[in-house]
Amino acid sequence: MMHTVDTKGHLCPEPLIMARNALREIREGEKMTVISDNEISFQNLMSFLEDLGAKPLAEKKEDLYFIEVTKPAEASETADKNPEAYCNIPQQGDSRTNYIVVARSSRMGEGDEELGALLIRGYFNALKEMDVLPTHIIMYNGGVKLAVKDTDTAAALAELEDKDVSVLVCGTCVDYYQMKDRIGVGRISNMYQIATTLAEAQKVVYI
Amino acid sequence: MTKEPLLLFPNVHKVMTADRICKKNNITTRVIPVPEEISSECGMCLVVAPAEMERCVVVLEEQGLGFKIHKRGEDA
Repeated sequence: MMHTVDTKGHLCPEPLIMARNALREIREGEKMTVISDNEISFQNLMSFLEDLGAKPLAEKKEDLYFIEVTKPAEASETADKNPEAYCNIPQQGDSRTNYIVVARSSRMGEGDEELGALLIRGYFNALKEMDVLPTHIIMYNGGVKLAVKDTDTAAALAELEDKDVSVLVCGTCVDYYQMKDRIGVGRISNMYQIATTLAEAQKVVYI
Repeated sequence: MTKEPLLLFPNVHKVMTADRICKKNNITTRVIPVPEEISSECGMCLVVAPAEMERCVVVLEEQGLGFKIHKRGEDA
């Protein structure tokens, strides 16, 4: 019978410890399945089991992750002793942590309006040079003015789009300000897309 | 990182004034934070397209605005 370790409902590092302990109980070359119901735990399990030398193979069925592993001849001692170190490892193949930037107005901060307008231009021109970019930039209300053609913010946003950042511009807002013809960057978006993107973000940066 | 020369001003009010003057003269500006190699303070500076640089310098000087031109890779 196939050995199974069910880590559903457990938080890191518990799933890793459960998997490690179960691996210790089986013979070299034997296979075992680790079940996880959590994306982050799953990612951490994959890194941990990979480093252990257990050759993890993953399959997602509905909302569950099934990881098939093989007991290695010799588990890596560093990984075996230190499952905690594998908690909260960022997703593999994606060096960006998942965060989104929301521009609620065409200015940064409260106080002097002209200063706020200057600051936000500096912000977007700095953002595009950063190593860790957001996955999305959402602009609503006065924020949509940042996407107007021939502005340095629109140019910066276009460069960010080239680097695979999704730029979403609130369609209602563009309509309200009657500037549809003047929008030079981003995708005109609706509130469902905006609400979904906000809900899925691990971190939201409001500027 | 931008390689274009930076226009540095003594304070943010001068940056805003210069930006207004450029806009009035149809010179496109980009606002970027002053690079850390020049100053650790939170300052902003302007970048204009090389083709418009000469004209920009003329209009800013006409208005009596004091500024420095900083080329990347050189000391401030």
